[in-house]
Amino acid sequence: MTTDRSNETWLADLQAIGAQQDAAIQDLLSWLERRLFYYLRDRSDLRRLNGDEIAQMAADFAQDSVLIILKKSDQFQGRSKFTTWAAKIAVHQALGELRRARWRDVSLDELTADGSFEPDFLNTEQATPEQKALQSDIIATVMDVMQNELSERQRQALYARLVLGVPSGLLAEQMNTNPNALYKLIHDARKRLKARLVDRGLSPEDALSVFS
Amino acid sequence: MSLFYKLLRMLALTKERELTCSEVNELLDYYVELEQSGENVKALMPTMTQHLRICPECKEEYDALKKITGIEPIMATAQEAS
Ligand SMILES: [Zn+2]
Repeated sequence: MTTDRSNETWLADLQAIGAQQDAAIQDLLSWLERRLFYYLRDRSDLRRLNGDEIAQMAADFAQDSVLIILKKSDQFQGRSKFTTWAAKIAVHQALGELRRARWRDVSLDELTADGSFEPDFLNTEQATPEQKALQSDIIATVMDVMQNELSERQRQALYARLVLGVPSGLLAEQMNTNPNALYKLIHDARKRLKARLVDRGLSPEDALSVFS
Repeated sequence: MSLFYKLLRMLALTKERELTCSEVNELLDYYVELEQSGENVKALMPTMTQHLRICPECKEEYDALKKITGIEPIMATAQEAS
């Protein structure tokens, strides 16, 4: 097998028909499968799986990825090596599947719970009275913006992402939106919070230093 | 790290203009290759670097891509040759 094709050769071979295409597909499949195997084998969350199970998982991910790569091959712009571009697609596919599996049994309510950001732990033991006053001021500012200037969807999205660590693709689906719109929703919320702190003469960096 | 601290850290990293996850994914292969060739990607593509600091999924995919493309030739070619 060979993977030292030029980008142009990869594209020509994959878009050819018959044996030329079959050989290129097989080469790409093997290349991805081996690398995915080494990557998956080293993931701490997959330690419970044995070698055969990891190999099967790598084979399945590689197979799915090659189908996507074939479909998208006309979108390859040649900014990187073809194999790096293909690996990017395989990584996106494989990690997307792993995240989906990890979050499969979590309900919509849990994902979008309107949780509280009220700090449950503050590092105040060594804080001076001035620092404590500043901490209270920062907390009050943030809570005020959260409650009065962010929409319920923004609060839900921030909470799910930041507190629960819900992957954005999954959260977007649950919130009936798409990942880009979700990113914008949260980005707008972060910008609003940041601006209000700055309005009060505090940069987030200053605020951080008060709590560390 | 307290949740509140985490939130403040995110605000400190927040920029007026940020790339979305799909924009980052679009450039990720290029970014990783530039970095692997020794370029200072933090200076060349600061908006990419900023997103990778703020977004756990894109960071995970970046780490995975670096690892997967960095595997060759030691382990992989030994098997491919067999
Ligand atoms: Zn992202």
